[in-house]
Amino acid sequence: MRLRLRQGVTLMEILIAIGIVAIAILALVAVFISGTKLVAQSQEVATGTQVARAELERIRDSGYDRVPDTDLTFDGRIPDATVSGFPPLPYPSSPEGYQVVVTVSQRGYYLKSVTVEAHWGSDQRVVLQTYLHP
Amino acid sequence: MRKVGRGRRGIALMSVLFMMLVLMMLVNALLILARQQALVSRSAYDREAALFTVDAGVAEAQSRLEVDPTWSTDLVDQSMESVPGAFTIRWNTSGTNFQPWESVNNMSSPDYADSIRGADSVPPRSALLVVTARVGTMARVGEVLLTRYGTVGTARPIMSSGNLRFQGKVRVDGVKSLATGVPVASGIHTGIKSGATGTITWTQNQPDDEATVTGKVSTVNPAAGAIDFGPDSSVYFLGGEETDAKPEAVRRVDIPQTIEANSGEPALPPGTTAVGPGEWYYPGDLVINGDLTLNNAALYVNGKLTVNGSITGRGSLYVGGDTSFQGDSVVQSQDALHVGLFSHGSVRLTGFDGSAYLDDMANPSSPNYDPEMAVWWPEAKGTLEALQDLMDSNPNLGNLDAEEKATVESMVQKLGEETAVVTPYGDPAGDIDVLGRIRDKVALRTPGPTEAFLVEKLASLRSLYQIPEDAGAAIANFQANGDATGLVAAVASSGEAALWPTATSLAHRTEFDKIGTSHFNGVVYTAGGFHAENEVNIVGALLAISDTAGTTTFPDGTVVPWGDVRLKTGTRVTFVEDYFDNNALSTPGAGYVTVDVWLGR
Repeated sequence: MRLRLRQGVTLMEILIAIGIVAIAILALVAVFISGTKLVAQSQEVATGTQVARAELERIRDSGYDRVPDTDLTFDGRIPDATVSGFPPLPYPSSPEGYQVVVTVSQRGYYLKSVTVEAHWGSDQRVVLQTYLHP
Repeated sequence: MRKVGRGRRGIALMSVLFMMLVLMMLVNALLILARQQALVSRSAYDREAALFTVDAGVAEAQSRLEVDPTWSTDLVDQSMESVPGAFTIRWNTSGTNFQPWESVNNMSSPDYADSIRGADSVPPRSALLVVTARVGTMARVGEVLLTRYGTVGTARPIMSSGNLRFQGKVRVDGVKSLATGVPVASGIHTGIKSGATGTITWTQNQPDDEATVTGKVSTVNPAAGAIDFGPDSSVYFLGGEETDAKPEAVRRVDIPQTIEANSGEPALPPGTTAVGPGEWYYPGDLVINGDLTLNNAALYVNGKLTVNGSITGRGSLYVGGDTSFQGDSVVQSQDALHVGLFSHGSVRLTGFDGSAYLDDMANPSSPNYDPEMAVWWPEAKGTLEALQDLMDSNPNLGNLDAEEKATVESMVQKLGEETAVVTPYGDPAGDIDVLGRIRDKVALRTPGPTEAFLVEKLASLRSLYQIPEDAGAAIANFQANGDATGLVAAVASSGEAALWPTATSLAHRTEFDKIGTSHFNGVVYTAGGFHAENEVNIVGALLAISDTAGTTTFPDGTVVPWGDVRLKTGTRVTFVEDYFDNNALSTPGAGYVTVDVWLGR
C-alpha cells in the first residue's frame, strides 16, 4: 500500500511538474516572442529613421530652390508624382519595404518646412522635420 | 528503496525549477536586450530628430536676421509641428555675463563683439548663434557663426527675368577689382525659369554707335532671333551667344517684408541731407532735392523714392515703391561697393536734368532766381533746340545753303565761346556766349557735386560750340585727339561733309535736358523693371527680377515692363568681381545671412 501510494505520489509529482513546466514554458515563449518582436520593431524604427534621414538629407542637398514654393504633400505609398524632380530619387521607391511621405510648406521669409515620414508595416512610421533656408 | 525513493522524490521538482530558473534568466536577458535595443533605437531617432531641429532653429534665425539684422528676441521652446521636439534661442543683449546658451547679435556693427568664446570673438556683421534643441530625452546644441552679406549674389553685371533692351552706344565689361583693373569677361543673361521668352536686342541710334559685351550673352529663350544685335556684325562685339540657355536661379529679396520689419526704426526727419549711421525708416513717398549723404546708414522707405541730385557715401536703400533718380553721380562711393538699392517697384535712372536746375534759376518765384538767367537761359535753350532741328533736317551737309550755314554760325556764336572774347563777356547784351555766362552763374552757387558737374558740362558744351580761328585745325584736332572743340562751326564752315553726322550726334548727346552722366556705383536690385538713359555708367551689377507680369508708367510717360532692363543713349556697365566676393564690402542694412562656420553641433 505504501509502495503504491509512493508510486502514485511520484506520478502526481511528474504530472504537476509537467503542468508547471508547460505553463511556464508557454509564458516564457510568450515573453520570448514579445521580446523578439520588440527587437524587430526596434530594428524597424532604426531602419525607418535611417530611411527618413536619408530622404531629408537628399532633399536638403538638392538645394532650397528645388523644394516647391507651395504647400504640397508627396505620398510615396500611392505614389504621388514628382514635381520638377521633387522629391529627389529614389522616391517613390524606398528600400526594404519602406515608403516615404514628404510634406513641404512655406513658413516665412526664405524659410520652408520639410517633413519626411517613413512608413512600414500596417501603421508604423517615424517622422523627421526640419526647416530649410538658402 | 525507501532511501532511494526518498532521494529521488524531489529530483523532478528540483530539475523543473532549475530548468525554469535557467529559462527565466535567458528570457529575462532577452527582454533586457530587447528593451535596450528599443531604447537605443528611440535614442537614435531622438538624436536625429534633435539634429534636424537644431538645423531648423538655425534656418529660422537666418530668415529672421535677413529681414531684421537687429533681431534679438528670445525664442523659447519653439515647437516643431510634426516632431515631438522644440528649439530655443536666447540672446545676450547686455554685452556682459555671457552664458554658454546665449547668442550674440553683432549684425549691425562694424566692430568686433564679445561672447562666451572671449573678447572680440564675433566679427563685424556676424552673429554667434546658439540653438538648443530637445526631442524626447535627447538634447542637442548647435553653435554657428552667421554672417550677413549686404549684396545679392551674381556673377554677371546684368541679369533679368524679362527682356534686355539696349539702344545707342553700349559697353558691358568687367574687372577683377577696381584697384587692379585686371579685365574679366562679363556677360549678360535673361531668364530665371524654364520656358522664359526674354529676348536681348540692341538698336543702333547713330552711325557711330557700337555695342560691346565682353562676356557671353545668353537667354533661356530657344528662338533663333532671341538675341538680336542687328545685321551688321562689324558694329558690335559679343563674347559669345547662347540661346536656350539654362535658367539661372536668382534669389529674391522680399523688400516689402524687409521694410515692414524695420518700420520701428527711427523716423527720418524731413529735409535730411546726411543720414546715419544706423537704420532709418520713412513712412511715405520721399523726395530728396539736392544731395544726400549716407553715412553707414540703411534707409527703409515705405513709398516711392525720388532723388533730384546725387547720393554719396555708404549705405543701403530699401524702397517699397518705384524709384527715380535724376542727376549725375546718382549713387556712388569712394572706394568700393558700399551702396545697394533694393526697389520693390521699378527703377528709373536718368542723366542729370539740367533744364530743371536752370529753369529754377530763371524762375522769378524761386529763391534761386537770377534776373540775368531769366534772359540767358531761354536764349540758350531756344538756340540749342533750333540748331539741333536744323542739323536733323539736313543730314547731308551739302544740302545747307549759304544762308543756313550763316544761321548755324550765328547760333554757334550765341551758344559758345568766341576765341577773341575777353572776360568777362565780349557782348554785355548777351548775344553771344550764353553758355559761358550760365556756367559762371552756376559756379557762383553753393559748391556741391551737382554744381561742379554742371559747370564742367557747360564748359564742355561751350567748347563744342566755339567758333575756331582755324576750322581745318579744329577738324584735325578732333580726328587726331577726339577733341570736339569748335567742331560744329568748323564742319559747317569747311564743308567737311563726312563729319557732319558726327557733329549732329554730338549735338544730340548734349541736349540740355539730358546733359548729365548717371553714375551708379553699387548694386541695383528691383522687383520691377529698370530703365536708364543718357550716358549711364553702372559700376557693380544690375538685377531686375520679377515673378509677375506688369508694367510701371513713370510720370513722364516712360513705360517699364517688370523684369525688363532698358538702357538707352550711351550705357556702360562694368562688373567688379571683388564686389561680390569680399564680405568686407557688404552694405549696411538687411541682407543675405549665411552660415560661415559650424562651431559645435
